[in-house]
Amino acid sequence: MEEQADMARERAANLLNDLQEISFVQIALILLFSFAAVWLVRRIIPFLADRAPSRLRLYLLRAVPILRMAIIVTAILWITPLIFNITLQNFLVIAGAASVAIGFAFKDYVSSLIAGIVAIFERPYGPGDWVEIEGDYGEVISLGMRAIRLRTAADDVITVPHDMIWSHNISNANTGSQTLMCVADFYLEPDHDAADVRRELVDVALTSAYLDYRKPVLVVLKETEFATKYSLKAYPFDMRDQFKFVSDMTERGKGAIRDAGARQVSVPRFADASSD
Amino acid sequence: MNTIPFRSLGKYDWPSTPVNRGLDRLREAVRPLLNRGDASGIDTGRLERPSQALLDDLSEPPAHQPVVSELDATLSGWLDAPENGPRHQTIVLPPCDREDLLGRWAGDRGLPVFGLDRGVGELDALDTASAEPLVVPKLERHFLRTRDGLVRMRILIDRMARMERSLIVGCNSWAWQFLRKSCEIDLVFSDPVTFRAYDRERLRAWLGTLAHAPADETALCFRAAATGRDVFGNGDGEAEVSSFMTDLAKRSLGIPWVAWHLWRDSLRTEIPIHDDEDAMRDCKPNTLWVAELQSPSVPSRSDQNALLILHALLIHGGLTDDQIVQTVPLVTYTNVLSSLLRGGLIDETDGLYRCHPAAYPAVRDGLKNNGYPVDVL
Repeated sequence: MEEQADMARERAANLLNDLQEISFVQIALILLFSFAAVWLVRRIIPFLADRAPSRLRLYLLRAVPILRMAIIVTAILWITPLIFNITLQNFLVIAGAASVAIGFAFKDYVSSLIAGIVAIFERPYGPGDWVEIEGDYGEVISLGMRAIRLRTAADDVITVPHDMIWSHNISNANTGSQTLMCVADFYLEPDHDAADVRRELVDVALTSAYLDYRKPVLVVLKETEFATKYSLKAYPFDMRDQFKFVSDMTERGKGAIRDAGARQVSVPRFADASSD
Repeated sequence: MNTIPFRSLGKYDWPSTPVNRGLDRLREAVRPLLNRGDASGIDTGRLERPSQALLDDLSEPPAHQPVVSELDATLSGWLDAPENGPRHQTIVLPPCDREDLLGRWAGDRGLPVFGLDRGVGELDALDTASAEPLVVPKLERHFLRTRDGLVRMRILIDRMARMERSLIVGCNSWAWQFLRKSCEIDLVFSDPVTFRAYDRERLRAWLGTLAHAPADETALCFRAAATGRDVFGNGDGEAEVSSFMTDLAKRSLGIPWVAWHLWRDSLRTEIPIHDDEDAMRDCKPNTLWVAELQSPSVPSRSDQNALLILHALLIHGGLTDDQIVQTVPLVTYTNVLSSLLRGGLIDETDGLYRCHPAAYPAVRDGLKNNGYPVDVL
């Protein structure tokens, strides 16, 4: 009886399991299966999302990080008792060692990992969203463990670590919805009939082939130092068409402004005057 | 057949959802792999499309024929005493009504029609309170989705709203959604109505009447090419043999003119094997084979020009080359019209491109899946 208690105490004192007791094959299989599952999730779901009805696209894309995290957590919980002898004492030892290592070597990395987990639940962005971070505007094409990748309108791919959410503003244009507001700006010489221009611009948006009927169309006027600024605001039915939509509104808006008897300014008046 | 009056827009009983139709298409794709041949069916290589004359004999136009009596039932009470009801009646119909249900109905009843050839200025002369109702069919053909087109449409709507004469206004369901957004047409012409969806029973009753009541009273049998079973399925095993009609109701979205085109597209006759049979080719056969319904392939989002054109065609009911250029933002040179024609999604008559009725359900699903605003019935 006493001998058994001694053995148990001895076992509990060991941080790692006996090497002969650790099933490396089992661990390898778990790792292999987890990597395969994560790889499949990251390939298959975006593939389906591109082919599924557009209303399901964001739901499918958002499932990727959640499933990936579930797979990784499962793998860690499965492997840990195979390697470590988990007791309260050992847990404190491991946690202490890990804290030192993280504090000195992997602080930023772990900060990004934790921010990535927070981002999954807090949702400042998700796959398929259009976000602006530190002046970079683009679509979130992947949400990794450490960072997200944005594809900009210029087709550049920008990698942004998750820990930006601790200290920077994240501007999300659609926050999970299918569409986002697009704005076409026009600067007109101030001497014109604003009501006419406003009506014409509303019709420009209403007759766009990209318009989402369910959302409002707005024209906002603002006097600036050198022109009257018109912001034509409307929503496309698919946010992936936002640049085409803005281009369409801008192209036809120019004609509408001409028809309303107004003129766009090309050079600020004060700049024009100063050059004389 | 029972005559069922129209009901309010928005209460349409869709025979199936896009998800159901997607699953059905998947099942059809897999079925040949799982079930190789049926002894009772016929090799489709031995079948050919019937002549136009035979098709017209078996399912004579117009494709909207069963809806005429329902429209009549809907409006007859109001026509008898229009002073007791609202001044306007609004009929919203799904697109691809090639034969102009409302215009023809008005012609048959002797009601005046405000057609495409008339200008809004002529409404002044027609505005007589005591006269019989004026029918304005196919409102979708009175405008273009352009700034000028909207202005003209608003003038027309305003003028019609001020008329003292009773009006019956017809509009396609896609244009109706667009005009609700751009012209608030629903605030002028309230309480629009549409027909009730044609389920398998109603389709079977109608198509069966058409097919089994030819002028020469020949007894005809319509057998499914895959199974050899009677598609009108009387007697034992009715539920099973009527699966074609169930499928037709789902595929046609319950729209009779779409079902009519699908039905005609599916009819086949057997190719004569011997010379003496060849001589009988022009005679009416006793057995007509019914091939499985085929869905055309709709372009994906990557071919956005095609989707934009299809959307515009549905809103306007048909467009010419020039009108397509005005209403669709085709930035680059494109031959997409040719590909749409070749794919059977649209057809062209006298320079007017229109969505093919048999392709309409697939086009609607394709546009809906790609996020485009669709109609409401």
